[in-house]
Amino acid sequence: MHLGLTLFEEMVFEDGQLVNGSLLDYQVATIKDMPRSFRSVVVEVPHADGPFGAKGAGETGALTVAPAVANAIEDAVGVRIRDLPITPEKVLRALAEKDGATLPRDSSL
Amino acid sequence: MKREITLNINDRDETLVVDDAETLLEVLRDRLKLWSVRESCGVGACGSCTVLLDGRPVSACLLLAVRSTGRDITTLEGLGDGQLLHPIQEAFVSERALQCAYCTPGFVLSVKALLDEIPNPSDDEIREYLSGNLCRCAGYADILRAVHLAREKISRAPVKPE
Ligand code: FES
Ligand code: FES
Repeated sequence: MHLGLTLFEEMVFEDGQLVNGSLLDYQVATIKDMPRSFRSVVVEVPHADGPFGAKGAGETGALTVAPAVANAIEDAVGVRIRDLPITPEKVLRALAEKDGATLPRDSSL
Repeated sequence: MKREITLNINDRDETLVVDDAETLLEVLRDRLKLWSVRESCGVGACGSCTVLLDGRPVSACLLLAVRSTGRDITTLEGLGDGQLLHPIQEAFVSERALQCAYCTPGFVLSVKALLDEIPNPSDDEIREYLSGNLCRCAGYADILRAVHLAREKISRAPVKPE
């Protein structure tokens, strides 16, 4: 699900070493993170050379949760987050920067 | 240390010699070839190794085999009758509540425990109960539907071989 990529999933490296390489530390979306309702819409753009217009779709590129969440955040608080996952820290940092402040950098953020 | 233990698995007694350090997961999977029991994280964080111990879901990767004696252990293999699928399995199939299906045995057993405990769960209760089972393909919406369908199937046909 694109939700994990958008909100949670991040491989954190320190000194070239992966430091969250287990499911205890690498956060995956659970059933509780699933939105109460959502509607998916298929935008059909037939591919000229594919059988019946079909084309293989890379999930990451084809799904649109990330832009939807980024748009919603921008709409709500006026900051644009351009890298995934969109974490509360990143939003806070962007808000602080918008006000001309800088938050201290933590190596894990 | 090695010792001989008897485990009751899917209503059958299995006697075998195990090392004290062997997990229930290793015994079920590697020794008894119950392939539905799957390891993913190995540290109790994902639920893919879920089995039922006296009807309650446990992570088999965290449980020592020697500590599982005298309990009724149920794996997915013990859920249907060998011919027919259990209504929960049927519901997962018809709602297509799986993609790669690696997480599915764990989910099905957690749903079994859920419906035994709360026959008419709300969406929130289902979410709470299943939050220890991870699905990386994210069939969560379909799984939620499958639970409701399973609940209907079970209430329509309460006597079902298990
Ligand atoms: S393998 Fe046992 S909980 Fe993940
Ligand atoms: S179906 Fe693939 S992890 Fe759940």
